[in-house]
Amino acid sequence: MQGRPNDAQLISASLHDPDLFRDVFERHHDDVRRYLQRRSGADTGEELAAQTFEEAFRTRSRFDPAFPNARPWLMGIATNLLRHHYRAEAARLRALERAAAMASTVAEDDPDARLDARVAADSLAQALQGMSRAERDIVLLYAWADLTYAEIAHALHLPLGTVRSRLHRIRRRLRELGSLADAIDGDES
Amino acid sequence: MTTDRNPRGFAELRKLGDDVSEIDETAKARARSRLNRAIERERAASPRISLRRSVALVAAIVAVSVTASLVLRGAADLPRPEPALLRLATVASTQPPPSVPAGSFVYSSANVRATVDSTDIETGGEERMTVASRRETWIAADGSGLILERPVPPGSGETKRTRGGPGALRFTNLDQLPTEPQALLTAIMGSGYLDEPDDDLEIFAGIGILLRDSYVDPAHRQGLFLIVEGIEGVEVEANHRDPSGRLGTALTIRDSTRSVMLVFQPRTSRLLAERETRADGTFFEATYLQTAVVRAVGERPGEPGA
Repeated sequence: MQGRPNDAQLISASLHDPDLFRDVFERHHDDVRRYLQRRSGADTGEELAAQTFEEAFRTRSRFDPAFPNARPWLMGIATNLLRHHYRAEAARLRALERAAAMASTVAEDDPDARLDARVAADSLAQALQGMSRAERDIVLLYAWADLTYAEIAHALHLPLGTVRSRLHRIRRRLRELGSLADAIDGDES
Repeated sequence: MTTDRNPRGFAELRKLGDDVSEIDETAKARARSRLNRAIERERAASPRISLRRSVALVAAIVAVSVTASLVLRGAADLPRPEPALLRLATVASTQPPPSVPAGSFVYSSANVRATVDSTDIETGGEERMTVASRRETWIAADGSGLILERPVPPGSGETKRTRGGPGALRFTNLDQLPTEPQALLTAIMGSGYLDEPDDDLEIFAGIGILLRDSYVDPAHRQGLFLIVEGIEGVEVEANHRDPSGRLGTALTIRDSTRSVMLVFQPRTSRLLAERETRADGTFFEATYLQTAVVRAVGERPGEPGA
């Protein structure tokens, strides 16, 4: 292996030398943990991040070496694990809704701006709660895990066109919330 | 059109999730230790091959163009085939082939029970309850139809109706896939039927969903049972009574987080019931009552015109 091996090379080699998988952990744990904590809260997110790497190690023979970066694959595993923690995610979304409303109450001097911010945050949190799981996975992999459309398609084993069309529908629905128009400008797929 | 990361996109949404804590090195060290233990466990593991790994091995063998023959079982150190499962496979293969004429619908009915957790937003208190419903489905071969779920007892909750046009609902059709168990497993793992299972338990649960559809042709149902027969850790219990009191063969697989049980009727190989029990005490249970082909959505077997 010449120079710094990419994730695919590490994972392939780890099938014979499992210790090499530790580098995959060091490269990606922080991002995976951050994504999971955003979705399920601090404690559950921390636990699921640990589980994600255990699961990734166990199933590494199924990693597609055509993808040099393991991040989308890991985010896909993380998203799958979240399925069993829907209560934690629901509680997290409700907490975000309350926290956003409270933060905007104290952060803005202008009462109109305060109201706009609160409406936007409340609406977003409610919109997330109202989405199907499949939609929420896509939009939050985009917004909270920073994956591209192609990476989301890889993570969730979906056709790229499906990811594009679902994000388009979500964007349209969010636009209907009105006050969020500014928040979604610039997102064209 | 762009598929690049767009930091301006969903800006408010990004802000909404920005309250997560900075990296906790202690927590990260715990996660690292767990991975290290998994690595050590693998080193210490016996060479016994799991079903999941056998599939990966098949892929690897194909990739390097090595001519080899791999079957689900056959190595001397693997457990003997489970007679009850082989019987179910044989029975499945002898059932009459299904017929779902164009324009007709497969009707099925089931009693469903599940635990539901709810949180009081004001107090933060959580409450767990068991809810029951009667689920009926009418699904055509093109995936159109209706799912009707009514609370039990009536009035204890909302009635849900899910209507779908062609392709909206799941109608299992394995006709184009091989019937040989190993090839069938590779095919259903690669084409979305099993929703990308991560382990043998998920493969088992996913195959249960396919076996639920008794209209799947006999050769493929036989293949599915033979795949299950090759999964490590499947417990078999003859003479298990399902929630309706019917005797069946119960197949159960479990890990540290949950167990999944499928109960089949020995005489027909039909799925009678399924139950998933999670470590936190929650469960989902479905008891399948009736399956028949009817001519219209809303029509039930035995009713005039059925």
